[in-house]
Amino acid sequence: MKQLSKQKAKTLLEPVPYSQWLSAGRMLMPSGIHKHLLGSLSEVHWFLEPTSKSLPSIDFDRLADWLETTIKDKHIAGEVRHTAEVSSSYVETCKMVYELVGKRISEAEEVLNNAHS
Amino acid sequence: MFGFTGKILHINLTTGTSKTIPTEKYKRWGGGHGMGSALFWDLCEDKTITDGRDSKNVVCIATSPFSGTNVPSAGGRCEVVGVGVGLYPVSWFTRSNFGGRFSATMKYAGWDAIVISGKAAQPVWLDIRNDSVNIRSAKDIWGKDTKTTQESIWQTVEEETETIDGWQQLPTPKGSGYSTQKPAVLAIGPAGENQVATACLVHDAGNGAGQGGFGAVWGSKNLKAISFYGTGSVEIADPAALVQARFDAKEFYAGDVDNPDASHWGPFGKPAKPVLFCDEPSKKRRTQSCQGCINGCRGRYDIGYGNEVSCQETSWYSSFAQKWVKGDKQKASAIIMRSGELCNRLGINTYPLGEGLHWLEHLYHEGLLGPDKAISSSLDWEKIGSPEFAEQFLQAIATGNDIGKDLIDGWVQAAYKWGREEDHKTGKLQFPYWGMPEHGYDPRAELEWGFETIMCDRDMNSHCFNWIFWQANISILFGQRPFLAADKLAEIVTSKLAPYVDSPAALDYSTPNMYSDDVMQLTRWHIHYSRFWKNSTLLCDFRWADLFNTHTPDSHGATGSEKAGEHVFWNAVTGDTMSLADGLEIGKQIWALDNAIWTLQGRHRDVVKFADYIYDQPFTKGELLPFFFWPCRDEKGEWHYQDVMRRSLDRDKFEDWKSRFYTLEGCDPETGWPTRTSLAAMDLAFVADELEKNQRIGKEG
Repeated sequence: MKQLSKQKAKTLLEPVPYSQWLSAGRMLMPSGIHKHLLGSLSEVHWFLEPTSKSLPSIDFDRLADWLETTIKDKHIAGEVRHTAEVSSSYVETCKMVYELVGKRISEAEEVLNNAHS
Repeated sequence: MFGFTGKILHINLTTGTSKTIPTEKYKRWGGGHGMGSALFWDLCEDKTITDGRDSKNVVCIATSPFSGTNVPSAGGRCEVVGVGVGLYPVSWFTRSNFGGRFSATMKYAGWDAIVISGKAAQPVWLDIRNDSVNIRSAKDIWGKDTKTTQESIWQTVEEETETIDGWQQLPTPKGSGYSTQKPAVLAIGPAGENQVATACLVHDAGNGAGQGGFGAVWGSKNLKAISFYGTGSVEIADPAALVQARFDAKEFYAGDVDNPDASHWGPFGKPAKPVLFCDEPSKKRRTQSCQGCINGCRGRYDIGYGNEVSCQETSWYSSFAQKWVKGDKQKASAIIMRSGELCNRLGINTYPLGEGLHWLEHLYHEGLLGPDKAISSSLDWEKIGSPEFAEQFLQAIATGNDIGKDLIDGWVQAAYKWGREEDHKTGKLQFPYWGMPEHGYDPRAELEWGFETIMCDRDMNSHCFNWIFWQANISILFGQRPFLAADKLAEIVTSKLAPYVDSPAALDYSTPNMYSDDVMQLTRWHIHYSRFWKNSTLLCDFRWADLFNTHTPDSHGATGSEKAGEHVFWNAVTGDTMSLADGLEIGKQIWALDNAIWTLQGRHRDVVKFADYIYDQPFTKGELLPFFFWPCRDEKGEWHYQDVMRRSLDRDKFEDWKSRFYTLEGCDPETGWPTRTSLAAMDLAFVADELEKNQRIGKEG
């Protein structure tokens, strides 16, 4: 994998304007499904964080498209698409994408930290 | 009259008088909603009103024979009916429901229902201690939140009641009765006082009658609170049969509390735990339930806030708070629970707030809402998600100030006032029916939810079949094979729906079958079941109907069973010999009576329609959900769990569906109005007389 540039790392961690937020939801049996708008890579990360209380509700094709066109990260978009294709279940995909996005955020943060040091 | 107290209390706030109505005349309706509709019919002199804040409105709070008993998940529910506030295009005669111990205490005080008519000249509260009824000045509690109001009333009653060795002594017709309990109080907060459409009625910490805007109705009547204090009990026809049915329910249908089974399917055997859209604010909690419930769904914590805040109260601000604290779940939980508690204190119905706030956020980001914008608001919209914003926003809603000024009459009404009707039509404001938001179960996918809601008066919030969505989809989400195959589930569920349904096809929500007679009959069964067994006998929606239950060898639930079915409990309590189907027939009559009231209010079948986006736009995959699996048959007739997203409703086909529905319900399909013949067959000729007098009787077929 190609090393992230400082500019690219900065872009990945920036929130996007409201008009580009991604629509998702959170579901809790039997209360219902409620809208949750995502506006940055880090929001995707904590949105997918496993919890025993409720489940994230997101379409991974749409997420991958959003990561590619809005966050402008083809690499993570490709990884999400691949994960959704090969994982054994939706919940498994949530867990794996959570790890992937977390890793990507760490990479970007590391690049920025190194640039500052 | 086993199960009933035999008395209904009628308070006329205009004259400041009370009188007793014998329950006997209303026994045929069961209790709750049916009894309330019948009382409204008899006591509301002008049934054409379409705003519940009209002083001619009559509101009824009714119990059932189950109230105050140990019938599982039924003893503590209470029904409210009357003309509502905030619905669209007009506020229909509608209903709400809440739990706790209010209905039980009303029964212990000797009353089956309380009916409120007229309007008090000054703020009042009603102080009812057994047979003693007093209309008292609310001067000192007007302006207070629901918690302070209840505490004040508890203190007043305690100070005025003689206590003997810790027992409070109340006069009764037979001498004295004793209690160690607090009075059960139902109150409004500032939102109700200001007659805000989203105002609700609150009892104890977290029991709210939310939908319908009944808080605004009370506010318009200058009614701050009703307090019941009783020392009586409920006379049961066959106590041994009731206890046996309760034991059987536990033995055959309930879960094992010591070894909860996460893979279990069915509502009855779910473990008791708080229903929260956030992490628990503290691990130190105990589960709290309504009186007589077998599965508590709220929590009380050791941290001093968030007690009994649950379900919708924890969802409306959840995504905003989590965004604000950047995913810190404990910090988010504190904001969510505190803002939910504030809703309860201010007396605000949280149901429309979540979707509504997303829409306001959209307007803010579009530059349409804010200081000096077309929609003026000085709230700090940059801090949405923060505790400070929640406080500002809720105070504005409750007091009718700032953004709350335009929301006083309802959310869709505000959209039209602001010239944003396109938002309603396109679904930017996702309020698909009667000016209320969808529940997460889109009418384009979960057919019975949408169809029932639009043929009635409000979001149905009746989960009988909805458990199918959850159980099947959660299995699929986890990559597991659903515990019950689609064909097996369809067979089990539809076997419970006699005499309406005679084929598993009723559960087939595939696009070719969505407007079929079979699905319609399932919808009718559910309307009638809900109208009687849930809203009138007051079985809790979270636990009943128990259509499928994997604790039993054949996975058949308790509904209709001869061990622990609804009718078994009814007969044990009342001494009747009713069947499940007999109750459905009463449910049909209740819907007919409600439809007659809607007809007098001006309803015609042409207004019975969803917001345009339900017809014009497919239910977008991924917009909220990754998929929506439901039992369906394929072209070969084989059953599968199939994704039913990506479709919209067809206007013409749904209009045809409505014609067939009205015909089966004994209404004129041209107008949706009841016919004399059908009403007379239900012993409702007096209803036909009034419809005819108002020139709104349906033509005979």
